[in-house]
Amino acid sequence: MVHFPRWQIVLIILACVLGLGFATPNLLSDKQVASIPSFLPHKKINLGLDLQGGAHLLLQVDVDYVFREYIASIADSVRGELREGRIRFAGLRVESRTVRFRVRNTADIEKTRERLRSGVGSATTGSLLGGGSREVEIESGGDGVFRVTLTEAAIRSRQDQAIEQSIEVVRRRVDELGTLEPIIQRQGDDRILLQVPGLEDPERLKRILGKTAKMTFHLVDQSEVARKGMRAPPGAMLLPDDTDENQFYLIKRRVEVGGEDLVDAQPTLQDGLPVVSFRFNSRGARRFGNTTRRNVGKPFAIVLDGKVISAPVIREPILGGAGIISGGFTNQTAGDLALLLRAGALPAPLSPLEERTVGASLGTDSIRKGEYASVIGLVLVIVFMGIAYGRFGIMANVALTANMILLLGALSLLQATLTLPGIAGIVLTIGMAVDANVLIFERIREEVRSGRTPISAIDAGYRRAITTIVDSNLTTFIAALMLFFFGSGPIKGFAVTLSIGLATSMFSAIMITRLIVSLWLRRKRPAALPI
Amino acid sequence: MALKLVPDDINLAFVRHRRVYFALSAVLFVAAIASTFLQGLNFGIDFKGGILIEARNKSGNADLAAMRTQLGGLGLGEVSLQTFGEPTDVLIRIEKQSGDEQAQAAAIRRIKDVFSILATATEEEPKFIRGQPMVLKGKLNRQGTTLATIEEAVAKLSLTGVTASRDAASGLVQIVLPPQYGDGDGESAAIDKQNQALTSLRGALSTVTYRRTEFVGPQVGEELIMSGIWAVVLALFGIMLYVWFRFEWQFSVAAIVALTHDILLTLGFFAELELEFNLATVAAVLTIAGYSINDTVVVFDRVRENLRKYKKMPLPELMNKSINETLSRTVLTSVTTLLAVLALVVLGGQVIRDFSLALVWGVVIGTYSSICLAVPILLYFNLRRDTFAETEAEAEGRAPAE
Repeated sequence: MVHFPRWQIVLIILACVLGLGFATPNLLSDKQVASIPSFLPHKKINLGLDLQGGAHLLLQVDVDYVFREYIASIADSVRGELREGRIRFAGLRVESRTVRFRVRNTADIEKTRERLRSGVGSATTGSLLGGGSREVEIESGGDGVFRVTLTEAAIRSRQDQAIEQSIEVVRRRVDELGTLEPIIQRQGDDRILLQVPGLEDPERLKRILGKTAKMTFHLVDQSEVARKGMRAPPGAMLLPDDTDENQFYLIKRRVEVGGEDLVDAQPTLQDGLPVVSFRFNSRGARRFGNTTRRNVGKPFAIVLDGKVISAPVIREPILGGAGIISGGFTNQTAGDLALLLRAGALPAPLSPLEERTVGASLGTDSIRKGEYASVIGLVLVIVFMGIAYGRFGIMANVALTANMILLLGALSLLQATLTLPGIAGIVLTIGMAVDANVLIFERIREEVRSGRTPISAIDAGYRRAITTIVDSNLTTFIAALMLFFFGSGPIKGFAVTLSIGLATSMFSAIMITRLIVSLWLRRKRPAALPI
Repeated sequence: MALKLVPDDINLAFVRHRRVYFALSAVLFVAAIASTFLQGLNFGIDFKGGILIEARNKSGNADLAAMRTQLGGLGLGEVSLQTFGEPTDVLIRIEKQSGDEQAQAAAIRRIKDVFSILATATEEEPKFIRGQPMVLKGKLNRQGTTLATIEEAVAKLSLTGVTASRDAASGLVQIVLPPQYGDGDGESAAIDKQNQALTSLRGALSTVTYRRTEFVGPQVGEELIMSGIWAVVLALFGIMLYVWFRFEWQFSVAAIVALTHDILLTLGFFAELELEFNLATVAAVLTIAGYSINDTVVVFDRVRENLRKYKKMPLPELMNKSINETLSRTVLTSVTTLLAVLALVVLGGQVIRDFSLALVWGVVIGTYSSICLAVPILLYFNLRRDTFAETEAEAEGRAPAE
């Protein structure tokens, strides 16, 4: 225990130098850090939002909405297939995740089964290997009742898709808001965590995220005059005007062109009024061209999130794939609509579940106070250890200082996020880090008392204390691990510093102090230990 | 030269007086449970949902009474106010609003309006588009504020050419920012500048600065409670398994009894002092468990060693010896940890004060339970010495004695 092979000494010194290297950028100004060549450590500790200020939003994706849309589209396909096959049916309705209907003529059951099986029943969920599972299960009974149910795999895959897509849209929308550097992550099954450092007033952000921005172009059903509360004829829906709540339109359900084919949208002025100009991709342009060519003189409705923005009459075919939406916009609403259209539609509405905004001033205060507490705590412990163990206390203090440097270096290297509770974890580490040394020193004292020579006492002290140190630190580590897995945000940061602190303090007590003690022994060859 | 807090030949009768400690712990235990259930834990918004705003009054100390009246008039339900650290800082807590997320956002806007000399929340959202002047409309909010007050506030900004005017008929005040504050090199730069200008304008009109705004929905609160409970339960379970694996089942049971004692006493501490129980508290509870088990394991380790060493010594004496032998270490480590944690209480700031206080309590209670509970409890389980003798032989790498 007292003897060190040369390679161990080299490794210990190397670890300390690396720790110092990785910790150093934290002492420099941003400008100085920027001038560090890239082969040297040049990363500061990553500060959590509670220390640097910023907004944290936890958003819920309304996946039920996605499933409702999904099953509705399955119902449409089923209806279409039955009509194509000239099968008479009744009572087609959606029940949760099932489409249910009854075939009128029981002789048609087999035919229906065949048709559905090769139609909606053949669709599979997308899989890279091609072996995706089926989207729907088809059940039928002898009484002619059919049930087409979404499979668990289809639901899961659609949910994943919806979340991924939502994250993408959120990212684009936040990017449109200026030069913010957001962190966007999926959390759990149906949530998105959005963190925007430096943003102190998330009002506008929330407004921008609160819209689905699903835009579609439809033809208007002119068979009846639309009035509030009326029953829409089959294949049509009654939608309100975007600005005038009392004005309604009968819109054909069929989507002529969808917002997903838009490639650009910009707010501009036309005859002095704010409008939004847009452009389609080639597919959208073709479909838009076809629809407008066939329907000259008829009104064409632009629907956004279930409301009619405008329903202008098509004066001439629009073949270039570009057009203009006018609809009583203000500068602001035109600007926002263009932004939303550019960023694309959310597959489902988002709602904030949790919001935490920390001002930069509080963050700066917290850092300053945390620094004070750490430094004063460190000084107190150092003084106390010096008093309690004299020369050995000083050796432990060297190791404690090295421990702090290693801890800061490790945090910078791993780019772990330092939070306010994380700073508390560092302060706690300062207090607990000397424990390993205390254990060893107490053990050495005991060995000295039982009459051992200095070298043999130190050797035995280290050997016997190590199992205790490992056992006691590992049990603490179990608690820290649980905090890491179950804690959120700032608490995770606490678990991280506590765990890294445990590791570095074990290293510094077992390796660094021991090396110092061993070097001292070799040089002085003391007859008695000053402990 | 070295200070000895604990004399070498100390021999305190921890084990003999164990019934005193058991009784003391039982009383504390019952008191903690009673306090937790009767007094109730002061749950923060992390767990019960709601809105929390930390604001700093710009002009000197905050007038809580006046603020209470103003906020009480908004009809937002239960509003609690307290100074927070400094006399200028106020912590505002509002119970969760009925209705959806929009209702929460609206409540936050209305509170912010109270502290602004220009109430803008009731008006149309301000319009800003690139290259056009930005217009902010609102009502004069407080007694004694006039257009001049607004102009004065605006003049303090580093924005030039900002004008304020008042419409005589509607009484609405209109602040116009010149277009250069909403324009930049490209769309996002322009929006960035607009946001900056508006944030600083809003800041100038406010009588407070917002240091923190938090909203937690009820659903998230429930989940946070559940994950907190799981974390504590699994940590206890993990510790139990580890101690079982490294020692014997008797040790692991004793350790869990001591840990449960520490955790419940910590809950009681929070309930009795009405400290806020939030996510950080769960972290504190687990840290206390970690610290306490650390202490316990050190003493257990010595018990195990002495069981091997003194094959004939009666168990109570052996345990007492183990406690006393490690007492110096226990006290020293507790002192250094307390020093560090006290530095955190005094200097760490208000945001983590409750957390730090809990740690102080935890260090004291954890040390106590390791010495006075965990080890004496071992006596009541049938410890078999032969298991340890065998382990020792294996540990030394020798063939077992034949």
